[in-house]
Formats: sequence, structure tokens, C-alpha cells
Amino acid sequence: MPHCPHGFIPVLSPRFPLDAFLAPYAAHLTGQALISLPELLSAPLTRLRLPTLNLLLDSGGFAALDPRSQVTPLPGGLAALHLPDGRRVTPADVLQAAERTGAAVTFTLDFPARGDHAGTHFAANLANARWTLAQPRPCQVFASVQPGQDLAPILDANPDGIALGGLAPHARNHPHLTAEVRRVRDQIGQLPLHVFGIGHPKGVRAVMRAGATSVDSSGPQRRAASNRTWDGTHVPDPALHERVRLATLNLQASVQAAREATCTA
Amino acid sequence: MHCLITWPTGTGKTWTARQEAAEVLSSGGRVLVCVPLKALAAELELEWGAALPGVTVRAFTSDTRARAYQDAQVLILTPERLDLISRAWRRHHHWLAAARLLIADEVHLLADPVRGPRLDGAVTRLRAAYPLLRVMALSATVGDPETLRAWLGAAHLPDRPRRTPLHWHARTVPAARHKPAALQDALRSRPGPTLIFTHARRRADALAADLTDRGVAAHAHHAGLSAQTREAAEAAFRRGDLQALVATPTLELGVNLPCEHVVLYDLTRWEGARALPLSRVSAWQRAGRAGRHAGGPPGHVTVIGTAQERPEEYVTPDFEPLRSALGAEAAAQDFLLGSVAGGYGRTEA
Repeated sequence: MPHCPHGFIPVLSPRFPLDAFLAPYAAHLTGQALISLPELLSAPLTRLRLPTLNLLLDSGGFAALDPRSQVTPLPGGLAALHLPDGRRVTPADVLQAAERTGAAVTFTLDFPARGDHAGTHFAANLANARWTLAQPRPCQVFASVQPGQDLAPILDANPDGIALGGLAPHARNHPHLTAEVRRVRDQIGQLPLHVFGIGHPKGVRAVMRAGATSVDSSGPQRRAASNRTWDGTHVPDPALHERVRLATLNLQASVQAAREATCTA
Repeated sequence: MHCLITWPTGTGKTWTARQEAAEVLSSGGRVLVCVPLKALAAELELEWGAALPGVTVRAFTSDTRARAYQDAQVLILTPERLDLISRAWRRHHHWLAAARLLIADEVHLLADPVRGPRLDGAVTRLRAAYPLLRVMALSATVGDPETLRAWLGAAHLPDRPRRTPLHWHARTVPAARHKPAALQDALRSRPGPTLIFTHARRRADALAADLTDRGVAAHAHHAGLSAQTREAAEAAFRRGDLQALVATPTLELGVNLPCEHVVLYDLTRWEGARALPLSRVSAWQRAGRAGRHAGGPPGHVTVIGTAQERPEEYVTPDFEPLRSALGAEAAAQDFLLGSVAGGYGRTEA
């Protein structure tokens, strides 16, 4: 039975020691973790000492928001991501990495709409998704989409699920989150719907109630890195165990919010 | 929610803790059980292993060969072992993070000047680093439980009637030399299996020999004997081949023997030239060894003392307030050093 992503999924990176401390909690609280390919390329996965869990591998196309990165064309209308450090991520790289890491789910390589590039990015996203979904699938493949994108051609390619990105900048605008998630949900029927980049429990509740089946974020650790919990508790100059404590409590709150929203939906 | 249970001995504290553990285990969590004695750890490993089929229950003491912590779902540890783990939490984090329940059995050990700081240090550190870890503290003999409850931030489950009643009998003797006769008398009037508590190994040996000479099937039981001898004595007691085991405090905590009668024979302990009275906490712990079998005969406790020792005062459970021994200077220094070494704190550059 293929793994269906559900509830809140923590995003982990092998680059950050705090994430390694959070990895056991990811396993025990959710049984899942999401890692993005650029992060995986920057440090060995073994640093996370990942316990047994379902791994979701994101293509990491959101890195295109970094002005130093570039989206470059590939033959057939596809596009690749060039990272600031010179490394390149193609749609084929994503599939290969998913196979190599034994991921349960991966996501097609897409790029957030950015200024004048919005139109070309949409076209590249669609081409990447169609190409990826036409390949032999080493695991479930979710098609990544952006707000406002026409879903019909994507759905024709028979994805295992849809993953909605581009909402993180609007994380506090709950009516906007709700509207975007509902818009996608209305078009995809019963397909699983994952939402990228929402971690605050209030945002998690909003997207789950609007019809998402799963949502991810590294917010619990980022909030802890600023010495705070979601509920505003502040620990000045925390020691390592205190920072791990903050991150753990944040993760628990996000997971709990998704569960409550699912139960009341 | 943390929880403090101060039900009397023989009222099912450990059983309740095991039910809670089963709940945690069913949701994939790990359980830590801290017990004061290696013998108790071994006993619990067998009992819980049988009661929790499919669950890996392991005792980790200096008596057990090296085992991997992460392979066990229920880890039974002494305070010393738990203290070491809590100091090196970063090394153990990959398995420790799954721990959702810490059962601190016989939590009144906190007051022990040597072992108390180990228990307190471990609980304090683990609570600081692991916010999802719940503490369940158990003891029948906590004086001023409100202070402990407040420290733990726990719910307190205070009273529950003992399933098998315990009857107390105070015997005042004119002088210490009259104690053997009073003991003989007590054993004659209550001929069931009896535990006699003394303070010292030599006294236990001498008293057991004296009882044997007088025709009572008795044996000493203390830490100076080999494990094999102790086990043989316990087995003979369980079979009914011995009427009396003359024990030092090694049998005070949590051990389950088919005992109907406890005699508190030594009420005074000597530290150099200083006489120290037996604490109420210890007296009631020892007394709690009698009548532990639900539905069995009632338990009896005979307290034998001189007028100065005031045996009648032990009859009421008026326990000394439980205060952690971690405040003592040497213990506090050790705790601080261990915490800094474990990365719990740091000094400013």
C-alpha cells in the first residue's frame, strides 16, 4: 500500500544540527519527513540519523526565489534550476534522487511565479510535470502547482497527488490560504492535496480545513532558532537542549493542529 | 500530565504504572522505569516481560551484560544509570526522544543523601530536554506530598484503601536485651511467614542464628551474602520452608515476598556515637512488605522498641517531609558539572 502523506510533515535538512535532533520526533509524531533536493545535495543524509519513516523528496524549486539562482531551459520545453553554488537540478535528477533515497513520494520540479518570469515559469512547470509523470515512477509523484495555475493539463498527466506551492509569503493571510486551497480542491476531486511551506498551527488549521490532506514546513525549527515557540514563549540565549525543546514543542503544536483540523473537517 | 501516586503499599501502584506504560507503548512510545534496586529491576524485567507480550522489556544495571538501549521499548534502570544517560543526552537522543513516560518508582529515594541526587538530577535534566516525556512518580511514603506535586507540576492521586489490611502492634520492652524474648513471643503469636528487619548485616546473621538455635526456621538476608545464597533463602521462604527471613534494608523496597508478618526489630541506627532513629518512611516501607497478596490473609506489623525508641509512634503514617538531597553542596556541584558537561548550560566567554 503506497504511503499517502497526511497531516503536518516536518521539513528537515541535513545541514542543520537542530534538524538532526528533531528527526526522531518527526518519526514518532508523524512518521514522515520532507527533505528538499538542494538540501540533500549540500550535506549527506546520514547526518540526520533518520529513523524509519516515510520520506518525501521535494525538488526544491522554491530556491528559484533566490535572486542568485536561475531557471534555465532544457530541450523539450523543460527547465532546470541553477543554484547559487553552481549546482544544477533537473527533473531527471529529482526522480533519480527519489529512487536513491527510497522516498515514498516526490514532487515535480516547479518554480514559483516571479515577476516577469511568471508566464515562462508556468510553462516550464507544466512541461516538467508532464515529462516527470510520463517516466517510470520509483514512488508516488505529486505534481507541483502554483496559485492561479490551470490544473486541467496537469490532471491529464495522471499525477498521484497535487502539491500546492507559493503560499508561504501569504502564510498569515488565512482567507487567502483558504481560498487558494479550496480552488485547487474543487478541481482535483479526491486526489491527495499537499500544501508546501505552512507551519504555524493557525495556518496549518486553515489549509487542512480548506481541503489539504497534508502540509509541510521547517517553521518549527525556524521559530525555535529565533528562540520562540509558536505561542510566543521566548527563551533568551537558549542552550542546545532548550532550543531542541522549543523546536519539539513547535512541531508537536503543528502536528496537533493538523490532527484537530482533520477531525473537525 | 505528570502524575504523583502516593497510595499505600500493596494497592497496585506498579500495576497502574504498567497499564499506563501499555498505553504509551501502543502508540509507539518508549517507557523508562527507574527502580532503586538491581534486584527489583531484574524482578520487574521478568514480570513486565510476561505481562506485555510482544514488547521488549530490558533491565539495564551493572548486573546485566551490555545491551543496546534502542532495542528495548521498556527500559528498567537504576537512578545511577538514568543519571548517566541524562548527562549524555546528546549521544542517546536518537532513542531517548521516543521516551514518552518515565516511571520513578519509590520516588521518596530523592531524600537519600547518596542516591537521591542521582534520581533528582536525572529527572530534572530529562524534563528539561524532553518536553513530551511524562513523569509518573510512585511512593507509599511521601511526607508533604504537595511540595513534590508542585515541583513535578503533577496531578496527585493521594489515597486508596489497602486491599489487604495491615494491623500494627507496638511492643515496648524495658531494655534492648529483652528484644529477643519479645521477638520470640511475636513469632509464636503470629506463626505465618515473617520478615524481621535489622539495621546491620552482623545483627541479621546473629539474630538468624539465635532464632535457629531456638527452633525457628530462619535465615539471614543481606547484601553481604552471595546472590546465590540470597536467592536460595528467598526461594526457601517462598516455599514455606523458612518461617523467618532476618533482613537488612535490602528487602525494604518494593520486593514481593509472600509475607504475612513484618517485625521492626531495630529502631535505632548508630552512626559513630550518634544514635539515629529509624525514619517513619523506612518503617512504613518495611511494614509494606506484609500482606501484599490481594485476597490473602491480613498483614501484621510488630514494632519492638524500648520506651526511648517509642515504638507506638511508628503506628501512624506521619512521614517526614520529603526533601531532595540535591541541595547538599557536593551533590549540587556534581549536578552542575554534569549539566555543563552535558551541554545543558554553558559559561559565558
